[in-house]
Amino acid sequence: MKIILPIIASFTILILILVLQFVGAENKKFTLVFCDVGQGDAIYIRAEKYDILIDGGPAQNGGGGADESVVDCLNRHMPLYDKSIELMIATHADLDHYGGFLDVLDSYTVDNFATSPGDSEVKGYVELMNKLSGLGVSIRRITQGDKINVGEETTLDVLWPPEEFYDIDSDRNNTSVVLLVGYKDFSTVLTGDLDKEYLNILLHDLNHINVFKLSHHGSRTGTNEETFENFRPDVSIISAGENNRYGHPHKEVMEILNRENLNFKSTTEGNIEIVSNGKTFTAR
Amino acid sequence: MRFSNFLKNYEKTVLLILIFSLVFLIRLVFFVAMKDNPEAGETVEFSHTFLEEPFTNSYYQYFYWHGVLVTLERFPEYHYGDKILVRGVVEEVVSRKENDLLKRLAIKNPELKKADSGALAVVKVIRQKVLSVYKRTLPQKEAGLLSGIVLGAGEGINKAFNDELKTTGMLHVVVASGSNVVLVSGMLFSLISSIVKRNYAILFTILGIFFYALLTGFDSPVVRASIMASFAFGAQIFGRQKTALMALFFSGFFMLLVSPGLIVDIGFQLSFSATLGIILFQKTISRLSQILPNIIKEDFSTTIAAQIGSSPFLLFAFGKINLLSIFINLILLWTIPIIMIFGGAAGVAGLVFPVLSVPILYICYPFLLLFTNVVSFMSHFTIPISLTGAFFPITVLYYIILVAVLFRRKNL
Repeated sequence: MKIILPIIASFTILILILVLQFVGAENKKFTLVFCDVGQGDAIYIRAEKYDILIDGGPAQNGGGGADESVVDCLNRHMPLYDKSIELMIATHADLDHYGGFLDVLDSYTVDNFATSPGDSEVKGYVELMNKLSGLGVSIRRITQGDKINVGEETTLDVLWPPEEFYDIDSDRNNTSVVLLVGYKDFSTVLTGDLDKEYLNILLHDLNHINVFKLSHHGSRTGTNEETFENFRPDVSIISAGENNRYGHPHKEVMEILNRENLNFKSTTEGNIEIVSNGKTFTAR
Repeated sequence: MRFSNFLKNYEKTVLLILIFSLVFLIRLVFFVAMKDNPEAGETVEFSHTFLEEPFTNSYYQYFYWHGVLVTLERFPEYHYGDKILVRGVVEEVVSRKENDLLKRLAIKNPELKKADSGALAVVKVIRQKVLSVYKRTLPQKEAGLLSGIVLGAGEGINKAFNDELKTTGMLHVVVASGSNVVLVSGMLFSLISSIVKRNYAILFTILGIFFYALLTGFDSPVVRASIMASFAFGAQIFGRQKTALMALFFSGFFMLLVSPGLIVDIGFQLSFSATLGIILFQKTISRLSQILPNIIKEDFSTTIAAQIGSSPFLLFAFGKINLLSIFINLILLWTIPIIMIFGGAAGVAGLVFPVLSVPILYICYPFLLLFTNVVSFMSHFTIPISLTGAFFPITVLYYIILVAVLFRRKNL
C-alpha cells in the first residue's frame, strides 16, 4: 500500500507539469527562439501549434562550445507531450548548421525536411540525408520565390538561393536558404551564412523588419556598412559561440552595430526567446 | 578481542590471505615484465568494438587503444556495438592540456574496414530500441540520466549535466560499472524472492544478471561484476554470508590472476566493494528501515549497502572530492531503485509494445526531474577538498573501521 503514495505524488506532479506546459503553449501564438548551441545556428519557431526548426547547430558535444545542444533547446520550449516537428529546414550543408539534426531525429518525429537544391557530398550531410530517407521524412528542395504557408497566418518566403545559382557560385555559404518569416504584422529575416554581396541586395527590397539574424554569426563576410543603409531592424541577433576560433562576431561588425545605434542580442548569453502576438513582441 | 587471540582464531584465514597475496604478487611481476605496449613508428593492426560511444568534437571521433589515441574522421559516425578493423602508424603527438604540453602516442586517420560484430549486433538492436524509447518520450537530460542509471549508457548526457554530476559526486550512478550490476542483481533478488522460494529466486536472479549484462553489451566491467555477483548469490544457495564472502573473494582473486591490471581498474574496484557491501550490510540495513514501503525497502537497503561497501572508490574515482557529495548522495539515492524499476519496466515494455512504455516513463519522469534539478541546484554549492596522495591511507582506514564494526557485531 505504501508504494501507492509515491506513485500518486509523482502522478500529481506530472499532471501539474503537463497542464502548465499546455496552458503556456496555448497562450503563445508565435514564438521564435534562437538557441544557444555555441558556434552555430539553431532557430526554433512555434507558430500556431506548428513546430518548425531552422538549422540544427552542431551535434551534441560536437565542439560548438555550448553546454547544451539543439535538443536541449527544443526540450525547454516544446511541451513534454509534443514530440513532433512539422518542418525542419537546413539552410546549407555546414556542420554547425546541420550537425544537431542527427540528434533531433533520434528524439523527435519529423514530418518534412526542406533545403536548397544541389547535393552536397559532405560525408555528414550525406549521412543526414540517408537518415531522413530511411525514416520516411518528406524532402523538398526550396528556391527563391517559394512560399510555405504554416497555419492560417504564418508564412515562410524563400528569398534565396535562385534556382540557377549553382552554376555561378560554388561557395557553400552562398547556397544558404534565406527566409522571411511573417506572422500577421511581425516579421523576421533568417540569413544562414550568406555573403553580404548577395544579402545586401535582398535586404534592400525589404520593408521594416522586427528581428534580423546577422549572417554568418556576425562575420565580416556577411555584414558591412551597406547592410543597414536602407534597413533598420528592431533587434539583430548574433548566433556565435563564446570564444569561438573564428573570432565571431568580428570587430568591424560590432562597430557598425554600435555606430548605427542598433539593438542587438547574442546567444552567448543563452537562448533568446521572442514572443509575438502579431503586432508587438517581447525579446528575452 | 586481543591481537594474539585474534591471530589464534583466524590463523587459517590469515595464512590463506598471505598465500593468495604472494601468488598475486608473483603474477603481477610477470604481468609488468611482459607488458607489450605499442611504440612510435610501429604499424599496427587491430580490431576494435565500440562498447562505449566514441568521443567527438567538430572534426573528429576518437577512442583509446592500449593508451594510444586513435582519431577517426567525424563521419561516418560509429556507435555502440560497431566493430572496425584498424590499420595505422603509431606516432608521437604533442597536445596542450590547460597550461601543460602533453606528449602522447596517437594513430591518426587509420585505414578502416567495418567488420561484422556478430552476436553483439542483436544486443545493439535491443539496446538501441530501449534507448530510443527513452529519448522519444522524455527530455534529453532526463532520458540521458535514465539510460545511464538503467544501462550505464551515459552518452546521452550533455556536457553541462555531466559536469554537474561530477561536481556533486553523482556521476557514479550513470557509469557502466560493476555497481550497476550489483544494484540490479540485489534488486532483482529482493523482488523475486518476495514472489518465489529463495533458492529459485537466486537462480532467476543469476539469469537476470546475465540478461542485464547482455543489454549493457557485455561490457567487460559489467561481465566481471556479473560473474562476481553470480558467485556471491550462488553461494547463498549453499550456505551463509561466509560462503558468499568466500565466493566473492575467489572470483575476484581468479580475475586478478588472469588480468592483474584490474587491481587499478575502477570498474573492478567498484564491483568488488559494492558486492562486498551488499553481502555484509544489506540485511542489517533492511531491518533498520522498517518505515519504508516493502518494495522500496529492499532496493533501498541494497543501494545503501553497496554505497557503504564502495564509498572510498566512489568518492575518489570521479575527480575532486566535494564534501557535500555525501549529503547529496544521501538525499538522492532513494530515487535510484524507483527509477531503475520504472526505467527497466519501460525498457522491457518498449521492446514488446512501445506505446505501453510511455505511461510508465511519465510516472518515472517526476523522480528524474527531482534528481536532475537537485543535482543542477547543488552543483552551485561545493566544499572542495584536496586529498592528493591521501587516497590509499583513507581507503585503508575506512575498511579497517568497517571490519572493526563487523567484528564487534560478532555475527561473522
